[in-house]
Amino acid sequence: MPVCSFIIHPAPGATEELVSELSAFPGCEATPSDDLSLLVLVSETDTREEMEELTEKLRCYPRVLSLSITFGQL
Amino acid sequence: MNHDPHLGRRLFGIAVFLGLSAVAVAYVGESIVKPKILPPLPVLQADDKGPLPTISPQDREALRQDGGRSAAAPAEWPEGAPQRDLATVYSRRAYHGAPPVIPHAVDNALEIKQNCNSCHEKGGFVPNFKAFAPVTPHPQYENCLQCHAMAKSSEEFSRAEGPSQKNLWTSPKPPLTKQLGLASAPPKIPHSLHLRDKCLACHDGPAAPVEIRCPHPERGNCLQCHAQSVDSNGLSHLGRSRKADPFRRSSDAQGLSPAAP
Amino acid sequence: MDFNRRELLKKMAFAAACSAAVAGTPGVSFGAWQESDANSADITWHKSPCRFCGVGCSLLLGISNGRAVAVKGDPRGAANRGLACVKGFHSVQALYGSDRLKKALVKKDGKMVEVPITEALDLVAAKMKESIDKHGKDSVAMYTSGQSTIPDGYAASKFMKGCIGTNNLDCNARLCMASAVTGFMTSFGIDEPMGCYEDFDHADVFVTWGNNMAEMHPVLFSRMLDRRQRDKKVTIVALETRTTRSGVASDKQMIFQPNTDLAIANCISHLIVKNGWVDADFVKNYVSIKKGRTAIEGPDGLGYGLGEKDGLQKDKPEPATWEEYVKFLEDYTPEAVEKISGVKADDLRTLGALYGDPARKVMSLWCMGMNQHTRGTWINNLVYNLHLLTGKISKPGNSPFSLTGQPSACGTAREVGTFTHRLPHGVVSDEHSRHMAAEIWGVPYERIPSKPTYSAVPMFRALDRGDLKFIWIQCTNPMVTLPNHNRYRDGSLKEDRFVVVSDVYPTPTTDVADVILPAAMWIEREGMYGNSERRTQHFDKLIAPASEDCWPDAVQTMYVAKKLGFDKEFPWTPENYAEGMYREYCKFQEGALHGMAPYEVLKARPGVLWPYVNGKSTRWRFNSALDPACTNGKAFHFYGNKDGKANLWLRPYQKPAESPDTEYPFWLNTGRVLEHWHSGSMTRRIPALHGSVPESYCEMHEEDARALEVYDGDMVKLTTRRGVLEIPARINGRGRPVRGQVFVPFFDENYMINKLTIDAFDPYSNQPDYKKCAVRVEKA
Repeated sequence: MPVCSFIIHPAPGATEELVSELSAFPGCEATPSDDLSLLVLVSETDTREEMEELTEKLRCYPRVLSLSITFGQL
Repeated sequence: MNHDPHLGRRLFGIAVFLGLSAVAVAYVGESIVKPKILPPLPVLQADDKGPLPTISPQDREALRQDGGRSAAAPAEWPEGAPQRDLATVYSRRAYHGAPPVIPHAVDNALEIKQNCNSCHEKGGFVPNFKAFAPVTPHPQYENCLQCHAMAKSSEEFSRAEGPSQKNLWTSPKPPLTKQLGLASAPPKIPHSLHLRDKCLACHDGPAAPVEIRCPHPERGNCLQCHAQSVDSNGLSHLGRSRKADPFRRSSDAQGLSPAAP
Repeated sequence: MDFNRRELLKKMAFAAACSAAVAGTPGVSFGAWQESDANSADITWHKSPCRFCGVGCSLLLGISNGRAVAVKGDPRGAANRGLACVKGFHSVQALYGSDRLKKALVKKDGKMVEVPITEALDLVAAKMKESIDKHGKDSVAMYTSGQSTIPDGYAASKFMKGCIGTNNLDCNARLCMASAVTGFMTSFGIDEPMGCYEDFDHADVFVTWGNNMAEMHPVLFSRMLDRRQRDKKVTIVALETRTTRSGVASDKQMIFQPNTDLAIANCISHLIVKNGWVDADFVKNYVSIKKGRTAIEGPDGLGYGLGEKDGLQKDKPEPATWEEYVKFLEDYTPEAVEKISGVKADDLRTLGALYGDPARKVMSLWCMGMNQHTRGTWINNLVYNLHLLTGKISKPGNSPFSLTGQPSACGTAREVGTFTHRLPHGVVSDEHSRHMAAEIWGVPYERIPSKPTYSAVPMFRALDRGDLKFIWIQCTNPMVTLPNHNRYRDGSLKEDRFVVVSDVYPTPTTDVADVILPAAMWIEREGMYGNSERRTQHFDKLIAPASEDCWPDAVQTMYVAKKLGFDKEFPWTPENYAEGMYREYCKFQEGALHGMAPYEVLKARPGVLWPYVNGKSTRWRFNSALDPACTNGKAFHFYGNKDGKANLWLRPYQKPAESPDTEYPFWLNTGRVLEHWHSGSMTRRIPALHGSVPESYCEMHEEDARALEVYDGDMVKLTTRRGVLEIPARINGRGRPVRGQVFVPFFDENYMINKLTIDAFDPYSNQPDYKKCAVRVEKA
């Protein structure tokens, strides 16, 4: 059951939308920083494949400018 | 191996075990690896209005050149000088983060001139007290007694009739040392940096508490590796009420350049 | 098990990401982080103003498991920018003294018996009604506090003035800020400083007038020292009557004889005029010159508030000419004033040059030294004169700044107006203000009496005489803090007097009470304070009160009001009263002159300055570039006065009510110390503070001690015309009086120095003079 966390830099002004959209992904919790400049996403998936799929999906997700993984427990 | 579910589970188990052990070491290590506790600085009687502790210019210079590098094991540890430990440090404070009280006698000149920095700016060995003076992390402030009260002896307490001996206040537990984000990560900073942004004042030198002395004081940029578990202005603690603040300016995200993924 | 493991992993993952983000991006923070951090103690942080002094530091209070456990300065706080003093850092410990009053107590057959608070309040209501029926509505009174929150003060004002229909409401701010108010009213026609604490960032010269800021306003003092560190041209001048930490830290200390500040201020004016440093344009356009009553004796004499001269007097302002003013100043040459004050003529010239130099921005700072003064109104006027003559006013860094001592002396006492002569807007003698109050309160206009009755000291004199039968004291400790206190203690113990005290700890005041009501303290309830710089700060209820019977003062008042039939006037519940009362109170202050920030804004920010106009605070008043309330089209508009100008007053130097003589050869001065707050009922229960200054003492000069063969710590006997006290001597301590003077802090109820102080007061403000009377000092 992989658990990962990411730092996401959203497009300017899109943080709040992104938080609500990403939190709707299964097993994902998004938390914005207090000044809404970036957000932290913690994901929990059933398999490693799902986790890789999720990473790819996030990478290509509109309004995500950058994605860095900070924690991975596979 | 990616496709072997058993292996995956085993690896996961190992990882968790390692992670938990690290946490366990942080907890248990507190009690096992604790250095031997030396007696704290004597709390001097209030009547003991001896002269201000002095240190000869030569001694001071020698200490300055040494720069506290030999802190963990000075070549010649002055006889009778105690190693400060965290228990002593916490015993001087109402709670972690509170300004410490002054455990030694404060003579008349000091009480009005507040020239505390003559000892506490650079630190050094104080023969009168047979101890190293702790270094202040904020020498830029001059009105020292604004925050640091003078501790009087228990005798003085009982002489003054007051209801104050009984206070049902309880201090929160100080944070654990060696908090790790990851098993092998550098320890996090468990306190706010406000008024305490000169790390080496408390984490290096002969008066630094033994538990929190830094093994690599020569590396100047502490925050490069040590992240805070609270942010430096303490604002992260405001919790949800702050998020609801409709009057906060939303940050200007324009200047944010995306880092390479 | 698996679930817990995953939770732990997720927490670690979250913490790692936050940690990396915070380390990598300056300024980023995560509100939710602490709560989800696996390792740290479970502390949440909430904003509140400090409980203690009038500086109004914004604090962050750490709450854990329903208890307040830690304090830090709020970096967003406009007053303190993250600093606090030793009282603030330990303030939350004041909530947990073991002898907190948790049950109401009622005197039955001479003994105090515990009863439920509702029963005690029923009795209070019954006694109040009985007294009103028998002796009229002017036989009941309330005495509140500059530490009352805005809702507490508002409830008291509405209840006494709007419901009962008596002006018998005054407060302890009369003992600390009344002369500052009359000073503002006579010079500017409107209360409270024109500048704000940002002046500290702009001024080049700081002059403290009898104000030991290092101990009494330490956070602002540090701000001043910080300025000097960064800008070498900054000069701090300490005018003081004894050597203090402030004097030692200053660039130039000038020691003057008590009460001669009047002469010093006039001398500086003299130098400004003589050397041509007057800003002639400013004086011509924005200043009108006035003179008033000056006779001490006789039917029109001002007196000293002793004997028959009881109560608030009125000045008789007359216009004066510039020539008259210049002639008036002729007496105050540096040489003449050196003889009166003891300050060297050259030092006075230095001070004059600092005020006069057009290139320097000057901030004058004062507090009790100028206010607790039998000519307190005058000395306030005279310091304003210096700023008016040089045009150094209402501009960033050019600021005469009257500091306050209590956390809401401005917010509650002065703005809500818990004085006998005041209403939330204006004064009782003004028809328009009474109409406004009647309309907002929904009470008949006729019910609000137009004549002020008793200010603080006369109120207790009336209790002594028997004109008052019932008094309800909230949030203050007059049996320690009233001057010449024996007289008032005996008065309150008389047979048919009924004394109700709402407080959080037993004090000498609860000792004289017939009913003691346990109060909810500070963050045990919601409230607002207003500090010296017109900043209002809101705090939420953060912890449960010490017991279910501990009610906020406002809720106690509300209960009694409802019991007496004023349900319509108090439509609030114990849950929503703070918001409800604040919103109603804001109606009084609407407009550019005094608009208050809306409730939501107060809740969201650490503090907001009034006037709050169209979403913006006015930081410097009367300056039309910075203050939207200026409407006359000129650069400066002193809109408090009808002619739009500020008043420059001819106020002479006069002697105090009592001066040393052969029988009582020393001056007695009283005051505070850094560690203790007022009468010490809170700070003496805080271990670190009590440990630092466990008892009061009598500071005296080394030579005087030697002459009396007194050593440090020996007992000395102090005798005045009013009382005797034996107290340990302190020689060369943190405060060092000059020869012939002694100083005693008043926080210690075991050494009640106010038995000795004189109950003389300023004729216009009725603020007593705690700073000077004649005393005999002997070895005990």
